[in-house]
Amino acid sequence: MRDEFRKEAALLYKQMPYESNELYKKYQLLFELPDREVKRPDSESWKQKVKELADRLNLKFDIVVHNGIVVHSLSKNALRQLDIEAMDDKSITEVLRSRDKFAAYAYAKSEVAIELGSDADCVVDILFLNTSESLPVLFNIRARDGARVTVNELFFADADKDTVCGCMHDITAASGSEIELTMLHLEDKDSDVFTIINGRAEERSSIRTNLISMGGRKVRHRSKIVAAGKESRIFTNDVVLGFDSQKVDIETDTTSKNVHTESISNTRAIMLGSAAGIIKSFAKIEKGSKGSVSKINEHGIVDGEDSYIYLIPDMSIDESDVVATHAGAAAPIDKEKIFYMQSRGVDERLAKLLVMTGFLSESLGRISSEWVKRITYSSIVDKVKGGGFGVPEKIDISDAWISEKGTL
Amino acid sequence: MKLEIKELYASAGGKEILSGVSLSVSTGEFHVIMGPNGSGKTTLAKAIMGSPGIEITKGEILVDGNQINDLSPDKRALLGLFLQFQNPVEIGGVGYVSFLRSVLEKKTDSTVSTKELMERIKEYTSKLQIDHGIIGRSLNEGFSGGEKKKSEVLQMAVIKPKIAILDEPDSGLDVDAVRIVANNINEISERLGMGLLVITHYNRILSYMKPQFAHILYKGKIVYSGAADAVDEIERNGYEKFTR
Repeated sequence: MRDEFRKEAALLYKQMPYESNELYKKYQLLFELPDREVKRPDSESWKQKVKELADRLNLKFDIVVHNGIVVHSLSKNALRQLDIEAMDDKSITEVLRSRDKFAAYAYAKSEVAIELGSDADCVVDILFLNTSESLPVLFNIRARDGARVTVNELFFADADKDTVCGCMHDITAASGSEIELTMLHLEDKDSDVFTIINGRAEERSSIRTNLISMGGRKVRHRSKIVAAGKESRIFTNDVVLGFDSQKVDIETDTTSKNVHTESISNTRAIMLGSAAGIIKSFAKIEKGSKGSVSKINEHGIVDGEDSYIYLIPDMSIDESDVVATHAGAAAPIDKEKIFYMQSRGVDERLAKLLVMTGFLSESLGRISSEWVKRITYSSIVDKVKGGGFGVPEKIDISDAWISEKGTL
Repeated sequence: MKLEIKELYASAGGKEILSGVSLSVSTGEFHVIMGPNGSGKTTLAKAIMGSPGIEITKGEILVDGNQINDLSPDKRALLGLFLQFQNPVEIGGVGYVSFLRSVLEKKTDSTVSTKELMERIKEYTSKLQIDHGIIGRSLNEGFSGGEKKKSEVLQMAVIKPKIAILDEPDSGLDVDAVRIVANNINEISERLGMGLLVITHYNRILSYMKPQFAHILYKGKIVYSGAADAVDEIERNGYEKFTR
């Protein structure tokens, strides 16, 4: 089974590699994955962990994925409109042995389908709980005929040894529908994190993705979304807070394939300590995509002696009748901002925290889920203050410094 | 409260800007500093507030007899000093009201009622004729030039410092706005018994204000300190008499 999977995954990867951009190939993190078996713990064990986390965060999850396996749906009502098929862990138990083992995670076999029909409106909250090696699970998310689907994912890892947490998404927004996918990563320091999004927006539909990366020792995220139908819209919104010695590698590709499409990629990243980030946003506008708009904005703050960030926006434009812009800017914290705040009586540490949370909060304001914003804000404050990996002990937004644009 | 500057030498970017400035301002006093472009007015203001971009190479800044040369800007603010910036920096994502609330909480070391704060802010948005919508915006972000100047005065009214240094509170304002800003500064400073050190290029704003003392800064040195009627001389004949 393992050999069969490896062959199949390698073949698929050759046909559709994620690392196809010649420029970006020079800037990527390589991962060495440990050879470990996926453990399926007893039900009482994961239930207890889920309960503790749910109580702490004051949340209820509709789906719980444990080590890549869908183990439970906690809210049947919330899933009434959904058609969920969960495959078990028979398919994959090990990853490729090639130098860059990312390929295996790109072609998962464990699969969940979330599909909404005409004019339905649904929010699905998912917990990914990893306590050992994780199976790379694939979520198929489909919205049809005017449906609106919001999927919020919280990634939490509490493993005893090095682990790999992976999740793939295959998203299709059919005519007139809307999908918002938000991924909040708060894994521990022993986890490597892989996430992938393949998306397709059809006529007059929209796909919005929010990636919040604040967990894991190494992070590799790949996103490829196509505005395939006329007047379709894509928005990617990435919020990255790197700390400790984290390594983050994020690539977001968008393609405009039809007339009057809109494709907006925004990234806000902060690197603290000795964290390193590579942020790559690529937009392609194909011939015939008249009247389309494509914009890339990448902004970064570096505030660590050994931290660094590469912002690499890139575009390929094959149609003349379009609006296309890209921008990238990274800098240390503006000392004039700190001085301004201090001149009012705020100490330097708090002033820095305010600048950082303010910098990221504009992106948080674009996320619809209140609980995601709540936990994210608390996590940002916690990590900037040196709180380390994982979910912060205290979830508190009473002192939230969020502008009106990003009101919590 | 008494602010004293004694023989202050300061440089920015390795270049000496202030070359032995001495000045004294107490609460209840109104001083004005004038001087041609590049004479060091803004550098002096920033040096008093402790800007990291200004290096004090010699001399002293004292508050009530205690030297504050090495004090951080926030500690100087907590002593009662306030700097109105000539060009306030925009800070995205930091809410205007939330920021002021935390500043006051830091100053008073107690919880501040948002409702009361909002009422105080509303009072001054009305007096200063600023769009009340600024309270829902990020700090200085997207503010017009006039809004920024007025917002600084609003912050001064809310923070209630003992001595305020106002760096060109009139620049970039139209005639009506200058009058509004000046009248509000008068009202706030008189009510609180504040000391004022106003830096300006023109006497336009001073036609609405009554400084007691004038100082002329030229090439990093105070070349005149005395009665405020020097302002009229400058208006008539420029700085020539003082810089010869």
